Amino acid sequence: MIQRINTDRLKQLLKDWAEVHDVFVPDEQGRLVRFEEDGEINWNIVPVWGGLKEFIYPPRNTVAGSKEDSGKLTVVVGARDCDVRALVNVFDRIMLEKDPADTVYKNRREKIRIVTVDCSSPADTCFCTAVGGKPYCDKGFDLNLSFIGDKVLIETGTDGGQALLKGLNSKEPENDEIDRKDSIRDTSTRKVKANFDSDYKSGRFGDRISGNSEEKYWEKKSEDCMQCGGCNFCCPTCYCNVLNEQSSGREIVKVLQWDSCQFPGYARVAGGANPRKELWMRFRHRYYCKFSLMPGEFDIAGCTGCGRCIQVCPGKIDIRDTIKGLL
Amino acid sequence: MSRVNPYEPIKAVIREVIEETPTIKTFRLELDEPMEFATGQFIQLTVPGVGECPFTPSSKPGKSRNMDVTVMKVGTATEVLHRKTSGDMLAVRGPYGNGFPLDFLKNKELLIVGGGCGMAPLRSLLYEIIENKQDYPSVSFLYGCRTPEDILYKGSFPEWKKEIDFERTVDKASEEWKESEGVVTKLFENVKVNLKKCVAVIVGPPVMMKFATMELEKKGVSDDRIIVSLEKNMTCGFGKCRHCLCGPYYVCKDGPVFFYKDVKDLPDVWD
Ligand SMILES: Cc1cc2nc3c(=O)[nH]c(=O)nc-3n(C[C@H](O)[C@H](O)[C@H](O)COP(=O)(O)OP(=O)(O)OC[C@H]3O[C@@H](n4cnc5c(N)ncnc54)[C@H](O)[C@@H]3O)c2cc1C
Ligand code: SF4
Ligand code: SF4
Ligand code: FES
Repeated sequence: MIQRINTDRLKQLLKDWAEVHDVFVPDEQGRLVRFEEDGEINWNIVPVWGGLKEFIYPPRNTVAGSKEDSGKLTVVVGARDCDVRALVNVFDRIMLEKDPADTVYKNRREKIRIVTVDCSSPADTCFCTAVGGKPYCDKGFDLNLSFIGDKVLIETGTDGGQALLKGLNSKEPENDEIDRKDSIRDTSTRKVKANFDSDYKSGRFGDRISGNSEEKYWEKKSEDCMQCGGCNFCCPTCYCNVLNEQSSGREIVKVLQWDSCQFPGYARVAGGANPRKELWMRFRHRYYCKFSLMPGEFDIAGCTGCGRCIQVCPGKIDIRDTIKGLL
Repeated sequence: MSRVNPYEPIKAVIREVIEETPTIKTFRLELDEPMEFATGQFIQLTVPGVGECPFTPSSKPGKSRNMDVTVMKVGTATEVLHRKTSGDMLAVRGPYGNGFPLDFLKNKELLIVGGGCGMAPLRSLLYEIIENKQDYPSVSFLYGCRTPEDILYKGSFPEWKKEIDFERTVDKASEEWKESEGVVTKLFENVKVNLKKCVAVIVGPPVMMKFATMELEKKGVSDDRIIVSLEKNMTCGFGKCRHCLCGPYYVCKDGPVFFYKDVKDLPDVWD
């Protein structure tokens, strides 16, 4: 169902939600921050940090032992298709469907409501269309917002989303409003396609990212990598973690923390053996994982084209260039 | 998986510590709740406040509150573990992984090759074999260590020797050592099982497995009759952290026990 309200009414709606739920919206830089009545909201910028992943899979998460749980719903407003595709196809499948289910993730997931927005001004770094996505969401959301001028079209995706709209006095959109929404979506799609339109499934790409062949290529490409792990941490599909043992006394406490496959010690075993000793091997592994292993496991690439890693990388490494060089 | 939260371990108390070698101890644990494991599966052992490490129980497989883990002192967590004594608390979660393919091993001639601390998982396999002797009519066991001092389960050897063909060798013999000297692959020369037919199970340090598999292939043991247990970095143990990936495999779920044919061409199999 699609309903129409105006942007003032949306503000009121957010206020109503914030009375009972934890509500997060994009700030001026697009980072998802707690909603405040007089805070600025920027619906346009795709955030680098403060994306959807952090709410469902926090950087540090107590998975055994003491836990704090407010019992409140968390409503995240402003997620994008690149976030949701990763969440639904990668996170939900690994954490919920594959046995054993991660019960901590499950609890958190059940308490999240996802309100996505159409991307009306994609960044130069966006390339979702090259990896099977699009700059708007058509599934996986509880509610989706399409902004057209001072109006907002709200599409309901789930009962949980419907419940958030209870009592909302809205109108049905006019046909020309639906047309405008579609035309904004088309324009955005064209813009994203112009950013990058190569098919990673083509040519010898698959062979060249697996095994330790193409050493020269990977050495060259990884020259500027500082092994900071930023590309993993900001990525909506990366979920590698390390379990931190924090027990004291007789209470067992375990904290799950984000980890990065770019860190030298990531795959090291006792005695010092390390399957990916060299930087270029770890660098290659990230591509192998995303474009060979993950497609096999999840039916989507482990890259949804959000472009965050391009923006965040201090070495100015652009994943699109790395892909292109191998096609 | 009996527990709801897979990260929540079962508490365990150390009941006895057995000093096997200068660097290896066996910890006899009593768990708060019974755990059922198959031989070759592994557990994650919590050393409270320090870390968690994967170990393969060395005790008799099955369901029990008692479990032995045999641990070599190699780094941070194992160092602290080696200072623990009877009565100290640890915690265990698991079991994880596939374990040895017993249905495949039954009624075959078996050549079991152990190196150093690789004897730990093989002890639980030995218990399995000796208890179900009718299923394992012909078994040769070869065990290699650096020096006589490094040999595990010294006291059990005479007993095992009565049950199956069991040869030991050390890289560097001492005055008193009466058995073989040299690397374990040397014992392949005179094994009693038929190398053209037998199934080989190899567990040990990576270098040892690398050379043993190469040598056995040369001697006519085909790669679909060689079974190895891989050691990779593991955090979760149940397919949720990606640390253990080796080629397309999750070593924690698809392994740690593999047919050699499935892993031999992976670039990082022994690293
Ligand atoms: C399936 C399996 C079964 C094993 N069975 C046995 C056994 O029966 N007996 C035995 O003595 N050893 C066994 N090991 C090896 C044992 O797990 C390591 O020796 C132990 O983890 C070393 O921990 P440490 O903190 O003392 O070493 P350090 O070298 O100090 O380790 C430091 C850190 O490196 C990482 N690390 C190093 N090695 C590993 C590893 N293998 N897995 C995960 N993280 C690692 C961890 O983050 C660890 O905290 C097994 C390993 C695997 C994978
Ligand atoms: S963000 Fe860039 S520098 Fe940092 S680990 Fe990734 S590729 Fe390397
Ligand atoms: S790899 Fe880079 S562009 Fe692809 S989803 Fe991850 S952060 Fe976004
Ligand atoms: S150990 Fe975590 S996925 Fe295998």
